[in-house]
Amino acid sequence: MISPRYSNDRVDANDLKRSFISILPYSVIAFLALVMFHVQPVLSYVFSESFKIEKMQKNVLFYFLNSNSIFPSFIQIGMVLCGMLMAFTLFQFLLKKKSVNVYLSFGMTRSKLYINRLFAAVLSLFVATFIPTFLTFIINLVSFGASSALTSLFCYMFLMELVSGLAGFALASAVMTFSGCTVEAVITTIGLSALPTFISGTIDILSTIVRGYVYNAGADIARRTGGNLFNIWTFAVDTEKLNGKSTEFTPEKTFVLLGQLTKKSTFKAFQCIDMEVLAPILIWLAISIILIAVGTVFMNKRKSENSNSFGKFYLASAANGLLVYTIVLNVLASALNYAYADNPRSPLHQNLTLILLIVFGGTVLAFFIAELILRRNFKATLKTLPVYALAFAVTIFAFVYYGTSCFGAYNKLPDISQIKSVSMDIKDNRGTKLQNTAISSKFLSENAEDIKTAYAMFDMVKADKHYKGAELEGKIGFKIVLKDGTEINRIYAVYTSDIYNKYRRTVYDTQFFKDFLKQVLVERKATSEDDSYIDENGYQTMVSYDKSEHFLQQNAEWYYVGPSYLVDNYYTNSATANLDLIEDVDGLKEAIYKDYIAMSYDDAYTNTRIPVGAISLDIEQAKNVNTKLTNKYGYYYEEGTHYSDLEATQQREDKCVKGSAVYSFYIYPNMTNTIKFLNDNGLTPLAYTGNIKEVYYTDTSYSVSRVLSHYADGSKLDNRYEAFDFSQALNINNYGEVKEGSPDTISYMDFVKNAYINPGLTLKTVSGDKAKEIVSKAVPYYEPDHGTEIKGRYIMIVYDDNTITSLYVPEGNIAVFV
Amino acid sequence: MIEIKNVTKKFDNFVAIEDISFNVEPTSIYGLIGYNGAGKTTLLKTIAGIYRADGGEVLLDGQRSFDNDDNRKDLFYIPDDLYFPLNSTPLSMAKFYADYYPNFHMKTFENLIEVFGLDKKKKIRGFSKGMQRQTEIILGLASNPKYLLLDETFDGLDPQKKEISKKLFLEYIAQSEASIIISSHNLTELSNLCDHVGLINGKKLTMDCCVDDISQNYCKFRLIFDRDIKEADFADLKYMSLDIDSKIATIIFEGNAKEQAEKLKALNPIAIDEYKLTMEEVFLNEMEDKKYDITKIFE
Repeated sequence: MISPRYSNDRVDANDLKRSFISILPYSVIAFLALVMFHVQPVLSYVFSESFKIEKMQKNVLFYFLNSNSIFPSFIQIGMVLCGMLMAFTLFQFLLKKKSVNVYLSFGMTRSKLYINRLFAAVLSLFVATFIPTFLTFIINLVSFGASSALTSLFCYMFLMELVSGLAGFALASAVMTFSGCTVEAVITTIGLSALPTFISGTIDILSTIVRGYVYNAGADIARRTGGNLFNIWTFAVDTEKLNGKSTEFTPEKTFVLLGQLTKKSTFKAFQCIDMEVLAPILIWLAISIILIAVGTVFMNKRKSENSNSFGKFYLASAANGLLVYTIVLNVLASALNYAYADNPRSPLHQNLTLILLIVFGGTVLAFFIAELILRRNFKATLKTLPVYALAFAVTIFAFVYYGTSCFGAYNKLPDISQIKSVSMDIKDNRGTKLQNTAISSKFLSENAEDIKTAYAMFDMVKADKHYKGAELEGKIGFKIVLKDGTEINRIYAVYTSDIYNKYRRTVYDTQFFKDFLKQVLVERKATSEDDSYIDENGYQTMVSYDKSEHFLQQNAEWYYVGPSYLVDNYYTNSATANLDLIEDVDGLKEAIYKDYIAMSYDDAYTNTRIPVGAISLDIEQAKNVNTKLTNKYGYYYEEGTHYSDLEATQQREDKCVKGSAVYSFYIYPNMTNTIKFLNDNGLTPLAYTGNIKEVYYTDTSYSVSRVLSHYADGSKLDNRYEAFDFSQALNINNYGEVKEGSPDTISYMDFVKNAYINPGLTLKTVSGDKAKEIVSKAVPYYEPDHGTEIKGRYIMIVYDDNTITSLYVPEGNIAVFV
Repeated sequence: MIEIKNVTKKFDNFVAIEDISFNVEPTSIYGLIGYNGAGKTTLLKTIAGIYRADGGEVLLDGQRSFDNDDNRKDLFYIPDDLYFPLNSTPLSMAKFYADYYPNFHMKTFENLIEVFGLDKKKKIRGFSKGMQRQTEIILGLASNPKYLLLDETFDGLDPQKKEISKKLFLEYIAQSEASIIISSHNLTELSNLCDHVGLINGKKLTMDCCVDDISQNYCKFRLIFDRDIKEADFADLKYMSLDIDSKIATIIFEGNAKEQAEKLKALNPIAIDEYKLTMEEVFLNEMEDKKYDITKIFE
């Protein structure tokens, strides 16, 4: 007996239920992982012994995602992967003939099949992300009270995780609807997710080949969070920043995800999450919705007869072909760029036509072969011609675009009369923190001469021909504000040191650079309340939270102006250098500033006079400082760890980690203000003047630091290679620096002595008048640019009282050794 | 009722089926016949909504099948390539189909399992091909569909199970008024099952008729002459096939037997015998568009 037909229609609901069940393992894993990453750390903290004390002391606003547990970038990658796996599972039926016969003959339209799976995935992702983040939010709320920062952080974290999962699902599911088999779907999904990175890398290389310098016309929308908008894996957070520097105290908002925020912090940027941070997430939400719409369309149009086949779906083939094309283009362009740049004898050297022919010819050939292998059908492969014709056209367009700077648009400036203020950014040749700071809004100049200079510099940069060396010399940036408020930001890479020095000279003479120096050396105060805060130790810290202006990033790295020392350019036999503490730091810096602005660029930076001394201006980098600690090497700050980690603090103290000090200045005879200041303070910045007993030198002009990097027994000083670079002998910053985990530092003197009795080194010794003659031709070595070829000779001078110092005999005076 | 109206399906530039039209009434079994690769499976998948027709349409009770989920809930397609997920059992598959077929009847499933003597809790991957086929037939019938599409369903079934299946299909349509389309290249399998048959030949439906009409529409005669005869002697006749062996000729006509017999008598045979055509003979004649001289193949 056949049962009566009944109309209870549960098909949609049942399909949804089955979809949920099929992806349940991923949902559970994601849920448990997020509970572990979010809920567990805050619970551990809240139930810890130190919680009550720290809560009162530090006024903790929230505790979200301990840096010791997991990094947000991993969470994003995990969620994207989770979404992709859900899609692979839910749409697996499309890729097999047997299953497609069953599912597509069910009483459901293809749209409903798609929507049910989408709904199952979205709901699973929502549950897996919302519950852990919301629980963390509630625990924080109960423990620390409400704050806008906490709410913002919860919203950001939840949205980042949900949208990451959704984006992964949307991409993979869309790909599944136009893929023939699992292998093709996986390759296409991974390929498409990596394609933006390959394309961006290729464009960089292509633009380098064509233009000779890289070019950046605007701020990345995802910069604020450190992510890459075009990369599905890191659009919301940046792996390098959050993984590599997770313990640093920076104004990056994402940092707060890794620890806690105290009520004393006055960063407005930390208090709430604005559209700039949310934008990448919202953009990817939009992209996901578009991908879902695309998936629905392709699902409906899908030719199910092509299931269980590879290379029959045109879109998947096109995507894979484009991937092959881009990878090959990238590899070939990289290889040829290397040959092009580095080998003047190569027939390819600066032969752009030949290079382009090889790159395109090779790429098209590789693409064709790849297609032939995939399709195993010559005729079918010929049909893919339009795909690589399109890829070829896009590449040609990229070449033309970069070759002509967006058809010339980015290399043009409005008439000078429309410019209100200008600033330029260039790397200081001393490698100090001038890089990426000079053109901040604070140092914009409305001075007519400066505007003319910047305008001329802009033309100069465009006109200059660069030799494309292997290493980037530096970058020069322009900020030009028009009278109508429009801001024009341009950054150019420079590969030629002579040209770069020319730019430096010009920038050095501008008013905004002097203003900048004044800010650094004299004022060291923030120009507005927003730019600084006083931390719990009473130190003023300069910050900038306006990350849309990329050149401000480094600005946030200047913090504590610590004690300064006068350094004599000689050393005794003692284990420490001669350091005389200068108490009136402000007075000292005022004097240095006056001297510096009075000097020309060459006087200040390529001075070959014998300096009479050196000053170490100790500017510490802030590291979420909690406690100022001292030891026999000076003071240092505990690096940012959360407050309960007192044991780690002690360990770090034992290991003697010293914070970085960034400025040291030679005192030249023409620095009258500085010398007067020192004299007024009872300090004598003069070189050692004892009787010379012996002078040691080598026959080689080879970098002495390399010669000296051995102990007498031949063992290498791996960790001290840079720290004891002989060329930096006067730089106190390099003295006594100890790497973490190596507390048994040796003194400079020990080092020099050991090095000079190295049996592998051919040393020559002179004394008497000859020794004095050599010393008279020597100067303290100052390396104008990193990597400058050393053509002179280093000498070691031993005085009658066994004091040792070192000087440098320049190439022009080398005849003194004969 | 299933209405197939001018259905054409192409795979890229290859036309698999072209302009096919026929109807399958309720309480009816339609046999779809054709040689391997004729397009039977393509047509069934197009009816099932798996393939989108490039031309024409399929109507189920007057509504389009491809983008209409309502009446496709009453359609069950048993493909040639059976789908059973890993580790599935007849019972788990019953639950699976019960989720997608609102009229799935578990009691029917239990009854059918017993009839075929299968273990509902045993893993299907351990089943023989025939047992898997039986499982799918059970699932299809338990789903209680109004439209049942069977693609080479008897393949791999032993004669006993084949007979049981046929009886079940007949019993099913008698009670449910369902429409069944069954494809096969084995004519004897369909001879006592279908009430209508269609022949797909050369991408097109070249024949669509009621099984009972087949013998009435075709006639076969055996003629004996007292002389050697030639093909030219039959030139005035419109026959389907002619086979001459010296003084004996076998000839098949389409149409009324009496009329044809009168025409043949005019040739003065010494004997004339009339035979009924088997279904197989009819289809072989319909499909005979290429005559290979196979004796020369292995020369």
